[in-house]
Amino acid sequence: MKLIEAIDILRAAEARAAKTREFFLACGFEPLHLQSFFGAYLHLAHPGESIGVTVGRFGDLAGNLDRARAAHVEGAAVVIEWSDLDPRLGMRELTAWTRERRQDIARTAEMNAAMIQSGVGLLAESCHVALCLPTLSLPPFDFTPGVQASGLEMGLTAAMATLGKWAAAQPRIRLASWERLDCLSPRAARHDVGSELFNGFPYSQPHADIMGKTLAGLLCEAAPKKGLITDLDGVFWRGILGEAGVGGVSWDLAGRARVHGIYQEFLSSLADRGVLIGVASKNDPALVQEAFRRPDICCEAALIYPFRVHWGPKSESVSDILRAWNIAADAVVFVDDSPMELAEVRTAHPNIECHLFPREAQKLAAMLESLRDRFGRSAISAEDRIRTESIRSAKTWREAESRPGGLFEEFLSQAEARVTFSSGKAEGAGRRAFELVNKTNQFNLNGRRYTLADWDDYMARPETFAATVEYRDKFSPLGVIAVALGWPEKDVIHLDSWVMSCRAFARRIEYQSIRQLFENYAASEIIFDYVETGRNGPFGEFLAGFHGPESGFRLGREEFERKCPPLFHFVETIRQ
Amino acid sequence: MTDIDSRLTRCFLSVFPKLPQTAAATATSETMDSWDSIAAATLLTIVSEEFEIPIDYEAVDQLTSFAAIREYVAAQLAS
Repeated sequence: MKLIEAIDILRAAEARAAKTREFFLACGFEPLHLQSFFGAYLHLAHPGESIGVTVGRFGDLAGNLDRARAAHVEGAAVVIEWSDLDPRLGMRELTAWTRERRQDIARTAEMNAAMIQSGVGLLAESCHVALCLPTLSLPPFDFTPGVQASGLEMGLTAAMATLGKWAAAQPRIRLASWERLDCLSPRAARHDVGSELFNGFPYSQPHADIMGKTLAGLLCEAAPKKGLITDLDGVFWRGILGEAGVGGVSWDLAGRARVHGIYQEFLSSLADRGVLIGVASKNDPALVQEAFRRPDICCEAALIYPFRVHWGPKSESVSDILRAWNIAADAVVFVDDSPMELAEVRTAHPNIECHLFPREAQKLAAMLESLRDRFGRSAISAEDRIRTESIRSAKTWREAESRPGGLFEEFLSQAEARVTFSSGKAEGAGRRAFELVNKTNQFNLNGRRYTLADWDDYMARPETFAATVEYRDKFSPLGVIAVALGWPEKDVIHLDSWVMSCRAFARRIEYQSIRQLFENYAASEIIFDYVETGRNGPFGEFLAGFHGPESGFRLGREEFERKCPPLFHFVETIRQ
Repeated sequence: MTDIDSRLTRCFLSVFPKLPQTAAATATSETMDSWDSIAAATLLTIVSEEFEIPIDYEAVDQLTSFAAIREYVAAQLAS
């Protein structure tokens, strides 16, 4: 993006009403064009919304971290440069690196790094933080030739690596990747010395652009893809299974097919972090089953669900898999080695992201890098890890649901279902609850979304509760699948938000949740802040089972118990 | 209006959105309150991008009007 384009985006956004999202850019240099690029990319990530970017004071990164904390913003971008560790490492206050000063610079840098770490840690208690460690080169003042690293240089780098290692482990801090920045912004073209000396802004325009985009991207994480559907012949393995036979297909070095082995390992690692892997292949199902029994397979059949192996169109297989996963095509990537198959699938599912499996090893690395970005997420929850298992069990539940009434009741009674209801402000009301409330659409009281600051404010109110529901049965655990936010007033509960994962449908967990709310808060009535969102049809249907849905829907305990179907859960209550 | 004039006017209007298009050619830092150090740095970076010319920071103090910047751009393009 050019600077003029960034400014045009900001000007167009200025015309809008009051700011709906506030961010902070904390750095020690004059933020100048970085502020423009950062703001422009935030606007692009939130089209139609009004965004404000506050900045701090020149030369005071530590103070700016405090200012960011006091600003109660949704997110903060923190950019560290060497001069923030010691001004003598920046061009504006560069002094001779004598032997005495070198030691002092190292000590000062270490002390300031610790102070910055403390400030960033405190800031992350109030909002999400995008952190970028120094991206510029150190001034050419060291005694070694540039090709030789010095002790001071490595000491400073180690101090930053230590800070980075700490930051990467913090749930609310997203650390910019040095490696990716090196790819996007050539190191030699980053520093604009003239601009640093005259304007106090050290970045070249292209580097400021990349930095702005990176920081905004870290704070406005795009929704990761949820599933990958893969072809087999020529993709999962080398060769045509129907022609070469089970022993004839290969994915190892000896078979000159290691790229397929690497792809299998990649799928295996995706599955481990909760990405759904499905197979769509024109093949003989029995042969495929046999191939997956080979002991050297790198991505086992257990990690894949479902397999759609037949001779019909791939688009039909993809449709079946999307139904089994209960997710939309735009959350899925399809990989095949045939441009024709990709085109056929793309025609039927225009929103699916299609990748042609490359023949060259170098291109495979590029494809995997791209897939890493598509499926990347800042952290992995326990629920992510059990997703495939729970989707596999969903099939059992769907089949059971279609049984005649009495048989389904029997199925429910034998499912060994266990509900753990955590009232108050559960520990579980942390990241998982926050995520659930912000991403659930179907079973959602009103579609209300929360920023981290909104969430913390809500939790800080003494009268509110954030109840979570965790579920498991003999088929699979589902983890934390429901959250209710509200506040009791005498014997009435006001529900501000209530969401439940669609993976938990058909198990009557919503009824058990209501019963637990009545019991735990000794309530006789619940007032639902219901809003029809256009996407929360299942929630409306649930209320319709009583006398709703309507705005301000009220449900009395007597009516609830009268209409509540039989519940077979073993319930454990945890009071926080 | 020459090509340089029209492109330079576009740069000015982007940095100074309240400046009437007809007044761009006579704009100076002395007559515009909004022409502060940040606006000056932004304007010169945009001009540098637009014409693909370097910024001579030694000359920045003289680049305080549309006319001066126009002259600087023309000289850079000719060199």
